Amino acid sequence: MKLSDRIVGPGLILLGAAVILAAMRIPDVPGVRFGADLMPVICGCGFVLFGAVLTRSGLRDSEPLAEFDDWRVAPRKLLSAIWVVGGLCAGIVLFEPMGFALFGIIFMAGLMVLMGARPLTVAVIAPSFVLALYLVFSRIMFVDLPAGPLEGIL
Amino acid sequence: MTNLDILSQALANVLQFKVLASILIGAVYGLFIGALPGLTATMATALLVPLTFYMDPLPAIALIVSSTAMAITAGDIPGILLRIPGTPASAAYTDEAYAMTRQGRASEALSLGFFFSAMGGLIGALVLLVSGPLLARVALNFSSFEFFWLACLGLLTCALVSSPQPAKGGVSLLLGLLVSTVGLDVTTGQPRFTFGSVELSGGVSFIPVMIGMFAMSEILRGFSASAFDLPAPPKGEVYRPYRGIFSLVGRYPMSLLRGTALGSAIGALPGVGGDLAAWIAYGMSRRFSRTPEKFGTGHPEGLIEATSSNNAGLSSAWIPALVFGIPGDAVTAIAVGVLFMKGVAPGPRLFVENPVMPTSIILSFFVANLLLFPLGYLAIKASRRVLSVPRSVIVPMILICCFVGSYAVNNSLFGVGTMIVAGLVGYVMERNQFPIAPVILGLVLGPVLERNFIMSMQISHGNLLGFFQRPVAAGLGALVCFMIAFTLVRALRRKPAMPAGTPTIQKGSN
Repeated sequence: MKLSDRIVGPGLILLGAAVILAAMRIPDVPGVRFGADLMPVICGCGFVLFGAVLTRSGLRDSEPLAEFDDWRVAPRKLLSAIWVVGGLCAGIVLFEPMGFALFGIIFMAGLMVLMGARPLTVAVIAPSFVLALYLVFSRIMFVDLPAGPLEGIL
Repeated sequence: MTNLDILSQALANVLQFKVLASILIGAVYGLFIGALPGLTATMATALLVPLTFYMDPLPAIALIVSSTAMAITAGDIPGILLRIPGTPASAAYTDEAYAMTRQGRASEALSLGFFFSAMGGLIGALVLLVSGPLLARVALNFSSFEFFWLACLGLLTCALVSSPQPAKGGVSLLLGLLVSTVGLDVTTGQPRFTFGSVELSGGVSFIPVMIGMFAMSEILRGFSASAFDLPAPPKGEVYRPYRGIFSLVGRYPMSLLRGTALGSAIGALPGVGGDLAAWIAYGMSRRFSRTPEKFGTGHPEGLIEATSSNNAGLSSAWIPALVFGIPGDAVTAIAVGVLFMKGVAPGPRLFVENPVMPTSIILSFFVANLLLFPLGYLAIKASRRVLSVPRSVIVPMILICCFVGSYAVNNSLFGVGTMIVAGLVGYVMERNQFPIAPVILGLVLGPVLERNFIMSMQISHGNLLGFFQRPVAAGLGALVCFMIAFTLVRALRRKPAMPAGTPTIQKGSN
């Protein structure tokens, strides 16, 4: 989604104002003159300043306020993008109960199918790559990846 | 013991089988991790620490040294081939290198990446060996004022070179700085923007943000119909490692010299590290170039300067770590921890009581960087296959690596969540021509900038003129002010507004 600077600029001004307000709510520490609020306030002022600059430049151009990416021409790509974001979000919830290997194989196989890989390629690559990754990370690098139902098999 | 005796003893130590084997294993491991998109040199080093429990001090440090040098260099491979930088430093020149790949010059980009990284690393190690203590003494005289201006210089350079619209570069930079303030305040320890979350109290790690913004957003962009796809394998391009590399040395000798000198000087500053060096080197190369208009179009000049400064900075980041026990960057911080764990306390006394040890560590740098030449040759030959793998295979592989990489930073799913949010934000930012690289540098250097700014403000009692009272600080401050003024004047003189849809350097200029 592409937004005109006429929208981005005022949005940044609002963001800057919100940051300044939030920073001002950070309680002062007695005896400390320059505290935790100083840097966020500077950032907030910067957002307001650059927001104003972008608003000014946005008013000069004649772009539409918003342009949406054309996903209709490639519904498979849209489904892939949804699978990526949704799958990764689902991974946060399913990581512990399913284990990394099982989740990884399903996630990877699903995405490969959506992206047009051949079934044999999916059947060979998805499990072998995920299992190899699991073994390298959990056994060699000692990263605590859950095995889930495959505990005892892996 | 004379210096020659120390050197010969150190050489004998490094040439032991177990040390050489550690260096080789570390280099191959670093090559593997660095070449995988989304996995960083810092992560590679952190994951090695458990293995060092079972090793002697020198092989343990040699393992870390070689894996880091190789991982940082190999981090250029996904940057060059897929536009996914392996390290914050390689993000400085990823777009330039990627532009070369899209022109069918991937072999040249990879060759000069490995060659000049090795050259930079060797020269940096020489600087470390010869003038390390001297440089560290100079750096020790730096106060918070100098460090503040230096961080400003790096951030400003990055914001200015990464976008044709300075305002958009500035917004990206501020976003990175704002995210870096999340967590406990560096001076008072007060929680900021944590919203009661325990995970946010620890701050936002730059690794998941970097993975999300560079890798995930790139993949999402590849799915949208309006975006360009990941590179198709350049048909007919023959990968000839190091072909024509000496003509590049002859054409751009100043870039190599300036890059290594800058990298060595900046890497030697405690707490700054080598990442900043690549950013400043790239910006400096553009400023001093006779053909600045070629930058962003696949021009090797800036690439040579940045990549050589990167590895030179990596070597010289060990100066403060070894001489004063102050880590120069995240990797040396881990290495200092390993040294302490082994009963070797880095610091000035180490050079007096056991001078062979620091010299041996420095010599292991030479061996690790020399290994970059043959391993780089093999890596360039093998990297061709990365482009031959279909997108339907490589994209899911990268995403799984991103997931594991984000999780492995702290063994926490919070990292994965951070990556997803950063990926979506990065996608929207790039679609609107906001460069991503300044966000990462702002996030990395934010705490350095803030700590030194607050300290300086306290020292000068809020008087901003105090920032110009020391000679070096005044020089650096004047340079920063000049850059800001120059940008403002140029922006005001430019009559028409930036045409809509002008691509940022981030997006690939070709």
